[in-house]
Amino acid sequence: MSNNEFNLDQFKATYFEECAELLIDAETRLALLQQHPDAVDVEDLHAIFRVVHSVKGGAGAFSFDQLVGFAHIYETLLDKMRQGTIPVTEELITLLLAANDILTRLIQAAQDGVTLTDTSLQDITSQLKLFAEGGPGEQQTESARPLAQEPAEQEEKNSTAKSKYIISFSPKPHLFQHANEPLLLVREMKQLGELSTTVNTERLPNIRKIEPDIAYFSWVFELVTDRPLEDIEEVFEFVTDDCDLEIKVETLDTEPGTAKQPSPEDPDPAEQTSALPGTFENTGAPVQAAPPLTTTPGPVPPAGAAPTTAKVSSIRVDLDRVDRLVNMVGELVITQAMLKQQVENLPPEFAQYMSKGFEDLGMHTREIQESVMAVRMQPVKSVFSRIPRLVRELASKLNKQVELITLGEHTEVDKTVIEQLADPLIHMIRNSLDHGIEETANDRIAAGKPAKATVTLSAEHRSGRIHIIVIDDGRGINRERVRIKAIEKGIISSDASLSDEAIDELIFSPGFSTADEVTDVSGRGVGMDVVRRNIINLGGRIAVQSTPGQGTKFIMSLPLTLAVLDGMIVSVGQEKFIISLTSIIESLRPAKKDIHPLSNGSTVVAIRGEYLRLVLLHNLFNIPGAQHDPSKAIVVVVEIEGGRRVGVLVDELLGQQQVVIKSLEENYDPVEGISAATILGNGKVALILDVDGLDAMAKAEIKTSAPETSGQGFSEIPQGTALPLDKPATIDPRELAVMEQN
Amino acid sequence: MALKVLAVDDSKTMRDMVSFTLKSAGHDVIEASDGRDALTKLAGSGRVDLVITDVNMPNMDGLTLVKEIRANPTHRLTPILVLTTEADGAKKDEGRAVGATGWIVKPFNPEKLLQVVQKVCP
Repeated sequence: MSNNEFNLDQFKATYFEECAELLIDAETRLALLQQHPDAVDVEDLHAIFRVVHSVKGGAGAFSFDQLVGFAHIYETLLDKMRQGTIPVTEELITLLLAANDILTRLIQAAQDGVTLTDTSLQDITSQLKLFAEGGPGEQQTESARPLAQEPAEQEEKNSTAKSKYIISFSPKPHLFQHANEPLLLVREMKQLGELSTTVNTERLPNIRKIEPDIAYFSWVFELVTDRPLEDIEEVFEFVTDDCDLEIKVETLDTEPGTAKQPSPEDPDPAEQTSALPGTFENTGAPVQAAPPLTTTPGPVPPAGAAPTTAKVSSIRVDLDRVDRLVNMVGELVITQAMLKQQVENLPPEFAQYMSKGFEDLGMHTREIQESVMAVRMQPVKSVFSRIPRLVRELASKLNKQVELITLGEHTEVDKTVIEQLADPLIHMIRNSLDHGIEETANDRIAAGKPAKATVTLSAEHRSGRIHIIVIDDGRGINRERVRIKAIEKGIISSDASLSDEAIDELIFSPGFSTADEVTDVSGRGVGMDVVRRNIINLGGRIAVQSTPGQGTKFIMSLPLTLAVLDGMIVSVGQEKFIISLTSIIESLRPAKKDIHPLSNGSTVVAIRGEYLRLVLLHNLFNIPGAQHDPSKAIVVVVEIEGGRRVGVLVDELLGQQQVVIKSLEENYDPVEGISAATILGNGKVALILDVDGLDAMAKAEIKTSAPETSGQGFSEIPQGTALPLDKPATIDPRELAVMEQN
Repeated sequence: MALKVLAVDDSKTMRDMVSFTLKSAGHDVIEASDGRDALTKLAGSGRVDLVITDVNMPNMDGLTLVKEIRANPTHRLTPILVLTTEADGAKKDEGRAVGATGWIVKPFNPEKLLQVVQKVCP
């Protein structure tokens, strides 16, 4: 067949994208089945069946034979399960999960243009067959019937000898009600050869009694053609049930004739042939060879030539195009900021005309930007849907009973963030199941908890970021064990006195692992330190809160997008920095009486009865000419990891601006305390502050400088080198005691 | 003659292929993602020359859709082709029983599709 213009490849991208979506759906449904194997919702089975069915349908079109074969067997089993022929058991659900894995791999293989050869495919296939009972033989031959042998059969059928077919066709009265039309049959037969027609009007009633929907006529056709009987029968393919049909053959040249009467009870062979895979290749041949009618389309014109377009509610767009758009919008924002600044430098009489226009421009730019960002937003569901299965598998491997609760799976976040989210999340879940939850149900019962542990996974938007939270109701972090381990590993010194939070934080230290033996669940050579590093690379942060005996909570906070940020421009000396607006709580100029230098060299300010540690930027970055006296400078109160607050000391607030994030790692090198850079309206580069990093730096500074600066003012604090953080930002009672003395 | 065809399938790939093929042949195509959607589209689109529908769909399956159309005073005589898979011999009979005009066996190639369309449409 000549399909030059109809290139199947153009649909492949859609197909694979659709497959990906379908697989997510199937995973989700399978997870539901897993959770409630005793109370199976048949709708889930229907949905999984449809997924496999759709995958198979597309695969057939692209001749992914291996995929078709497997999907067929998988589908057969699902069909029987959804119809209740085969009861749903846990064993069967496990098999479905394995089958879904194979399906996923087969789709990937089809995409890569390879064939899977490993034993697990055969294994699962034969298991599926076994359950679908029907017998390996029948299903196998049907689906695995090679496509290639069909054309050969077809050639045999094509004999050159002409025959005369005498066709008696007598429609049943309801023929028209199925929208079948005898005239169309006549038209089709005419394409096969010379046709003569005799109509029988015997059944036609009195004209008053004629019902337009009832078929009254019957016909006898004489067709002289070189086509085989099957072709003639195919003309009547759709009406065999709705008519009495008799076809007699008179061979004009050589072969003796055979008579054949197909009936509904005994479907003719031609029909059965067409029920087999791949037959479209040959059934299309006869008509194609016939002279085309006016309406028969010739070569299919290319897509662009389609005269009309259907209304569609969504389109698929290549991510590259969206990225380009995002970049351009970013540049637009910068250009706009530059223009705005130049306008501000104009004499006031000109500037006032421009300002209204700039307000509008700013608004529109912002709208464009938000719209473009929205295009890239996707629900976290695609990542969350993998988790239930992970939990179940881990739980059974670890012999623990665990229930997973998922919340907020519709929370949307930028696609790039989603892609990066899966690994850390999976690791956190593994960690919770392996280390968080008690070893045995008895341990839990002894602790007064239900035997079944609960792990809650939730996502929510909070102040312009997305928070992914994993909570387990396990034993909590064993701080004594963590401390000992950390000393063993040389992470802390044996006489270090650490707060509880600081000990908890140790689990994020490089090379730290609390499990005495490395399990094959979470001990894969990477620890929570890798998780944290990955998250930080994303511009995110992770915090842990643990209550011994009651459980552990991991909070992963990520930016919604990696492209722009609402920032506050601040100045310190001659330098300008950006602080993310989302982390700023308030800014103020403290009164002199509220400023308290501490014995360890740090400074706190009292704000409405609460003490805040100050982060001295001029000190950390060694900036000359900055205002050192907090009562003459400005304290920007920011929220850091774990909801704690610190005050960042700056000279001045210069204004808010949306800035386009330019990665420092990509363009330069990572710098401590700096999360990224941006370009300001004047074309100059400004650094975006990483407030958590600053806090860590400040604390490290205090640690190194504390012995020497005890009792001295903040301005004398020497530059220190950065060390791992060991102290929380909250005020320690001992510090307060010192403060009181001051 | 350009036909107005309603293509119903929950699989976007299939819809795309049906739709592309028909449009390439100069027909108008309205797409629907399941039976219920199809009925909505039918209600809002006047005369439709042909309905091509998948069988297995969420919300409302293809067979129910056929029944609904046959019971609809405006559209009851619209030709309906059911998209069915090779192994689904039973589905063909079921389709015929509820009033489908004919069927197309999946996987189909474009010419086969157009040929079957030709077969049931004036």
